[in-house]
Amino acid sequence: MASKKEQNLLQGSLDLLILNALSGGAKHGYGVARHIQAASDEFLKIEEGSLYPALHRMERRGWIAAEWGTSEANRRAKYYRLTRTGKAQLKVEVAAWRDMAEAIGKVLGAAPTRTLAAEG
Amino acid sequence: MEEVRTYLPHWLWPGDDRSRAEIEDEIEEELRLHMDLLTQANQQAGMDASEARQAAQQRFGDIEAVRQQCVAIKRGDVPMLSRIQAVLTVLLLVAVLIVGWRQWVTNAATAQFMNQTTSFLKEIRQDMQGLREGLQPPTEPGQPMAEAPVVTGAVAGVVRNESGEPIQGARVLAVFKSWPGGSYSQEGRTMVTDAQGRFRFDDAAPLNRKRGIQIAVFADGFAFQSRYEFSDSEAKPQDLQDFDFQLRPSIPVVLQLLPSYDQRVTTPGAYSGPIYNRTTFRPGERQTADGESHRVYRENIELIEVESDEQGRVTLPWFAAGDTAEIAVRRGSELITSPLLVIDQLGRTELKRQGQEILTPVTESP
Repeated sequence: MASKKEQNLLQGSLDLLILNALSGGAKHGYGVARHIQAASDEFLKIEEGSLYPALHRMERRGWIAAEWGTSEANRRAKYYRLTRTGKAQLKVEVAAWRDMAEAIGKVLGAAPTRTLAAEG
Repeated sequence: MEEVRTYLPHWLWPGDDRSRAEIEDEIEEELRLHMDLLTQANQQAGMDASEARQAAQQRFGDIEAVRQQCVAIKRGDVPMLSRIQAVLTVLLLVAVLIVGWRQWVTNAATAQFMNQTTSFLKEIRQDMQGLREGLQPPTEPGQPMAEAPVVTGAVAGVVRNESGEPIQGARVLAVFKSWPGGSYSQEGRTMVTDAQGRFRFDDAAPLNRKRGIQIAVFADGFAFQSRYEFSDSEAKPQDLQDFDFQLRPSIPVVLQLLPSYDQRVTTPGAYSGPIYNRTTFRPGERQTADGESHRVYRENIELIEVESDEQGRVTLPWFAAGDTAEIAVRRGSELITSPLLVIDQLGRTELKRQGQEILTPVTESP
């Protein structure tokens, strides 16, 4: 079982990926999974089922809204779209992610230099 | 609705209130579609039916666990009862704050304090006006310091009704202002008119000095009137004898003190027994429909005060239809409130800015 911190990190990035996928227009769960897969096959090594609790949680928070529609296969499917709050949330999360990535990048970039200096 | 959600903690927001079975069916349908689409994709990639389904299940994960999680989220993370309790607690707190504020802070304290302060400031203003009118430039150099002796004259007038007939027994409340030796002096005098409606205050005002003359006239069945004259030019004796009034009929205004009056304004221990009939009413400034303004000075105002009866009912005799007037409600020397009385052309009365609801107009049905 993953530690609490790891789970939070995973959940946080999953929310970001879902919001990002929906920013291109309304999709059903399968559509979201395919969109994310196209962007990052690595990430979706986690089970696709875990998308759904995240979708329902975000719907409850008002970030996304759901509506029944008809899928390509002519079956009833639940389509999710970003709300105004969700769009704002996406911006916040993207910014937070960029900051984090930048910080990690700095740390990673700094390490070899120091090693080299030590060697030299 | 979306906006409201943003500002509320999401756990406070009610969950889906449909039956559990209905929600489960819906989620089942949603998850089933995903599985079928995955299986279909696997088949298109060349797997056979059972192989494709197995691969889809692996990719999807524990469908039962996912379904349970979704149902729990959808129905709300916090049980409905806790949520209701939280909302009720907040509402109760807010209600207590509002009621408490209105009851104890705003009404009792502020209203009374504001009334007292307003009336105090008005009295100061009257006095300041007197002092201001007394200001004069210092004597020019080379001028004699001694002034001519003060000569005082009588102030007189006649009180009549609308058709010009004299009113006997009208009460005249006069205030004479003078500035002897540069200081300020104010004298109140009263008089009742004779059979010809006349009044006359002898030796009342200086003729050759700065003077202020305030006369207010009250007569039964008539709305009161007043006149104020200020002058610092020399006058002949007859100049101050034209204070004539033509009074117009009044309409009685009936007011009722409410039972809450007892509880709200009684100072503990100050009085025992019924206090309604210790409550007195005074007129303040009166604005007529024509825009005239009449006022009473506090000198001798006790003479025209009226008192409520034991049932807390009082009839104010001083105003006419179309008036807007201030009244002061007092118990002893304590000012309780000074509402604004608005009387329309039909004599209907309205009370404004009472602060605390202790008084109400009474419409007498014939």
